[in-house]
Amino acid sequence: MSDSTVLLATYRELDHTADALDSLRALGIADSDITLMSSVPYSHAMLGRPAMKTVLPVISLVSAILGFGVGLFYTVGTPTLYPISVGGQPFVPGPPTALLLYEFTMLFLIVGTFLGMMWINLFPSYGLQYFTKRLTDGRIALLIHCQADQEAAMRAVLEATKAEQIENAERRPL
Amino acid sequence: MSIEMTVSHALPLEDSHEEESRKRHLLLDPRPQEEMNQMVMDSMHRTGVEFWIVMAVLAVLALGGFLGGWLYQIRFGMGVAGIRKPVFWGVYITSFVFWIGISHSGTFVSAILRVFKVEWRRSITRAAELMTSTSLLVAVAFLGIHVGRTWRGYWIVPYPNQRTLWPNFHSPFLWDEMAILSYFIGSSLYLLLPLIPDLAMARDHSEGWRYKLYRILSLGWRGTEAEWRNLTLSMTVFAFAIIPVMFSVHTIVSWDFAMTRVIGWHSSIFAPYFIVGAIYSGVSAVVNILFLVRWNMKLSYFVREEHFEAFGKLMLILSFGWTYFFFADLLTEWYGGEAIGHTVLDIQFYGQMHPFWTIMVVCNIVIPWLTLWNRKVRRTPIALFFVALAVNVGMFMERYTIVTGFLRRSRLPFNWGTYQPSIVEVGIAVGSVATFLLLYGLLSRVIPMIPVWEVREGQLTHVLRRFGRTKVTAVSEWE
Repeated sequence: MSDSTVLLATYRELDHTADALDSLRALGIADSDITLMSSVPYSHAMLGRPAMKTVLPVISLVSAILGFGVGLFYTVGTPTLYPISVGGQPFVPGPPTALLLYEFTMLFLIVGTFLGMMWINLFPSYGLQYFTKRLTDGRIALLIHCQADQEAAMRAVLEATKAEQIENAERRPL
Repeated sequence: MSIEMTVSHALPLEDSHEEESRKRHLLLDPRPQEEMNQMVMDSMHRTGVEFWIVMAVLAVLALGGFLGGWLYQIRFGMGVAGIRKPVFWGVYITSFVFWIGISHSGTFVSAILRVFKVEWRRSITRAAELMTSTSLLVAVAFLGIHVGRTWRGYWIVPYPNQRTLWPNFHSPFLWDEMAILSYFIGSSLYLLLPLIPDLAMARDHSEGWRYKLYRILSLGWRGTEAEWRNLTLSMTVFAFAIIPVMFSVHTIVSWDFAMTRVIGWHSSIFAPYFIVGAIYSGVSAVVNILFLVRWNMKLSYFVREEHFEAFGKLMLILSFGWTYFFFADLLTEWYGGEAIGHTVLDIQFYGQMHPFWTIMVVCNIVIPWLTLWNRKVRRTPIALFFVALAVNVGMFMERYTIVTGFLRRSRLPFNWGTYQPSIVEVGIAVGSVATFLLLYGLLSRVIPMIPVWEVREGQLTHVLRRFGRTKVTAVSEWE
């Protein structure tokens, strides 16, 4: 591990960043060894990066199903435990039950999606991170994990693709 | 020769057209992101003496009127309110419905316009979303105020207990609880999601207590591909999920009325009527807030005449929609010819409710229809501000007429009555406006009011492209 290094290069232009990514790939750097950071959500297609898979839709769906189940418990289960006769309605009346099932489903979907996003992104994360403040001012950053003996070649590629700044990345407080 | 002449004449015209387009449209007038960040950060630090004087006055009104009135009522009981048999729903429920209506602004402006990819929304969504969360807080407080014994509010929470009492899920009030809870949680998280990158921006441009606060709130955001992917995906899920929740909230609020057998309330049209009214008042309230934000926080680069014009058009369309439902509801009762129905209408046309009913018609129909067809009015922020203010006064009167008017008359004349709000109720209602403005004003100095990354994204996708002799706006699909 001691012979590995992490480079942080910042770019002003998206085109130059995409060129850098192509060149790095040509040098044998895997996409998984490059982290891209930006102040706007550029799509993977713009950068020629592989599409990212996420389990967030699954989490949302499971949350919604869970919400439906909790709704069933409250609307069907509790009237059975505590029967209350209301206006000649059955203990489990159709329309109000449907309404509450809907509300519970949506509540769990929303909360589950948010918690899922937090979990997948490992938020909150207040430890030391590779980062540069220039990012939020519109720069695009490439974080490249490579072997120490590749560093010179990396730097040459990054300079050739008009990187604004190239530095050995250090973890720092955000 | 002729070609040269054409070119020499066309260039200045083209330049002026281009210049005009940039002036008008934020997304065609890009500035470096550093500069936009700085403008947003400066706006949050812009708190002069005048700002604090206004906040102090609002705090006095909020503490004296809203909180003081509420505490006074808790101390001396519900008798200090003007609600008496048969009018048991008064200004508190009117205010509750009004603030729930205002809360529809954020979701409508942000989620619906996001789903339909309406580009001008980008700079003004935050201001609208913040309105939703703050107005919902005020609305929920009115439920506590109205029920009197607020400290027993936990009785509506379903949990096993020794009394073997369980909340009655057949009741519209429990539906209300669930819908408002879902909407409050959903809209607060929906405010937070697109805010995370802006909080990170604020973190990187702050020092002292602000840095500590933004560092915590930004959750460790760096802007990696994975973070963006999951954030934008969850925003899409939220945008689609929050819209039906928004519709359900005001539908259920309307069913608090429509599920009863009160004449004038028991109507199947109430749900869409309330929703259109809510969006109408919500959009108008966004105009009021945007005007104040733009003027007070010096954000005229981000909030332009184009936004006011778009809102003016929306208000005009919504006023048509509201008038349609208002007329349909009125006509059905009037044409039915039932004596009690006419009695209820008579107190609106000629009786106790006439002043409020007239203000409602003037503010919700006459003023918008006389003014909003005019492009100049729509593009003049101060003019639109006053029209929007009138609409909100009108919408409060609409709720007051519906809530307190119809309860004054019933099928049994011995049960007829009247209603006069007490000073405590008026104080709490006025104090609620101050509370909302105070909360919003203070939060506007902590939360970045412009989603800079969304504006930047929009500016990257908008260009002026030549078509024949002129240049027109071309928009690229980002995804």
